[in-house]
Amino acid sequence: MKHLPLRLRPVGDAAILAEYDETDIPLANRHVLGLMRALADARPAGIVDLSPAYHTLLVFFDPLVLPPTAAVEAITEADRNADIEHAAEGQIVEMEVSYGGADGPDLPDVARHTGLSEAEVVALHSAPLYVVMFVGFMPGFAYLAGLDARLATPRLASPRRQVPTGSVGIGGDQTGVYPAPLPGGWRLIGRTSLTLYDPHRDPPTLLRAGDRVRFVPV
Amino acid sequence: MLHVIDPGFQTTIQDMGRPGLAEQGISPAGPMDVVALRLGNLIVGNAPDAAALEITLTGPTLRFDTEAAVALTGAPFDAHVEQPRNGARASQSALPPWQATLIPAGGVLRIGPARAGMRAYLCVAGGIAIEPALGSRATHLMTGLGGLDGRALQAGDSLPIGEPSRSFAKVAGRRLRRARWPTYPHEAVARVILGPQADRFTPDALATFLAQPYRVEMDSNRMGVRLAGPRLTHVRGADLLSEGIGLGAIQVPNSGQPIILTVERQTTGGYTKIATVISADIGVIGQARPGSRLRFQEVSMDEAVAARRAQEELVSEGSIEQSAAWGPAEVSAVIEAFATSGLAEMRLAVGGVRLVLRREASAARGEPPSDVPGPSDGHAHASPGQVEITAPLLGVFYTAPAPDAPPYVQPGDRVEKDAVVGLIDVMKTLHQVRAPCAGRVTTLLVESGALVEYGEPLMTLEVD
Repeated sequence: MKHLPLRLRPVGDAAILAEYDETDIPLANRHVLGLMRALADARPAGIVDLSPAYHTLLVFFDPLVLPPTAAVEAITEADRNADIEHAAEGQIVEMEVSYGGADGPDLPDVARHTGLSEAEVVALHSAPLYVVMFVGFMPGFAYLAGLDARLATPRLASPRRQVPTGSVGIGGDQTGVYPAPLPGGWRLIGRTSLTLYDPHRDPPTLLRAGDRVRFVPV
Repeated sequence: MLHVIDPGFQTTIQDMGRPGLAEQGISPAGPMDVVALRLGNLIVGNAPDAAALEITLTGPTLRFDTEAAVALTGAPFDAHVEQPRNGARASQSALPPWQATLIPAGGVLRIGPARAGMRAYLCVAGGIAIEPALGSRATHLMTGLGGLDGRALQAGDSLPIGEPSRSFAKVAGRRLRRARWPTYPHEAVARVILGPQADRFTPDALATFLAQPYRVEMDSNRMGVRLAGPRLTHVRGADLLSEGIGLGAIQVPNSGQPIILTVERQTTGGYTKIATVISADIGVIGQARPGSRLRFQEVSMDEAVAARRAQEELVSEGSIEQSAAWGPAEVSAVIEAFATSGLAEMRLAVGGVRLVLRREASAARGEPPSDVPGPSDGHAHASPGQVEITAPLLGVFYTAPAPDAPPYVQPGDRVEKDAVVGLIDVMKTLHQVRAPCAGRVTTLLVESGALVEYGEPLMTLEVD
């Protein structure tokens, strides 16, 4: 696999944004996960937090322990050692989903928009092994790669005031699960009873970057 | 135990936060002014990560059921201690800031409004000893994590105090050297490093950002500080693919108005960031009071790290001294504190000095209506027979309950004592303004929607 070039941008004096070309997001994200793993394994003193996203890894450090120039070296070194090939091979989480009905009130809309039957929507949505590209925005919210392009459906014109916890939705070309009751504009096609975020659990989030998810209809 | 009688505007438990969970979508929380918290812990002999109270705009009233050593650091708040005395009247003394002070068992600490800045820290020797959540006691209000059920303190809460590491006798009187007290100017400067997306702004926008002051908006909170000022124009739009957000990152959405992201920010987001506040100046942002101004100054990476080193020097034993016997400096500090407090009289006997301070009744704040302020008190709008209704909090003043609703009062209206005459919106919470006495409204001094300071006159009332 070709290794994408790494670009570094300073984010103040206590963080550096490591960035890969965004043309191929799944490929860039494997680089991000590989870099994150390599940094976590090397554990250079002074690195305090890692925030992955689609094609970037934000590396937080204490500039008194790890000066910015040393942080650049540590990140560059980790990029060289990163295992891109096996970056997205975390645990596989099977997530039982009750599709349609009260749990997935927008399933008929998605079927109508995509020109598929409701059964076909469920079959296409539960077929892939999705990759968790990162968890972000709010505690436990997993950004998944792998939605079948035929299922892409625009968001609701006006978001719901509150989406129930565990709702599985489609928003544009993305799919995801709401970890907490929130306002939201995604089309809700089902719901899982798994708890994605529990502050009293350690670790508090069910899914981590690099994990894989399969939705299982029940 | 420390008992909350009145929580103040927004008082939360904070320690150094919980970094290391960004990968799970959890921002670190912790103090908005980390230097003030660390100095407070240093003064009372705590470990740097001991939990303390972060106090916002208006402070709490707290009762201590055991003796405690406390230090109030950060922005200047009026504060005094009421000491219980057997049989006789309770006595009051001003709480000196940046200094360890003993509070006797049964003592009540009243912390009033901030005279400048935004946040203070009450550090208690031994720390606030609640159960940690995910390795920290810091309250994350946005996600309901840490602290007491992830919320701000409420009346009736009781907080356990940990075992102090040093005896109170050794801690009492430790204080920050006066020359090292931080300042809280109305126009503050925050140093920044440009980027990570400075290249997404026009050269004009970058020049404007570094030259013009920006006003701090009322809807700022622990998640972000919102600014208003000259519009910053993007090249190729405001949006980008979501990425991790640094502490102090200054994002600019399509509105062109910057938002500085702070300790409870979302971990990732998709807006371009023009610059990032350096780590030494995060506290400047945490102390940015709504209505005050911020300017941005570009520095190099080396300058940023040097500033951080200088800050570490500040937060060290070399900054601390033991308060000596009472001298002229202490006496004048007490007089200064008394002058800006709402107290009518203060008696103090300490270190061989006896001090009695008394205010002329007409000049005291919050007097009963029979004590009508005269023209001599410096308020331009007040005249004999009239009282001013002043803002009980800093915030945005509204004359009506809703934009299309009729105003609560208009000039000429008669109001009863305690009638609602307006609203003040403080960081998205509404507080009623009430008439201190019955009378007739004569003049409205502030327009609806204006930002008002604590104590600012809102309207005049002709007393019955």
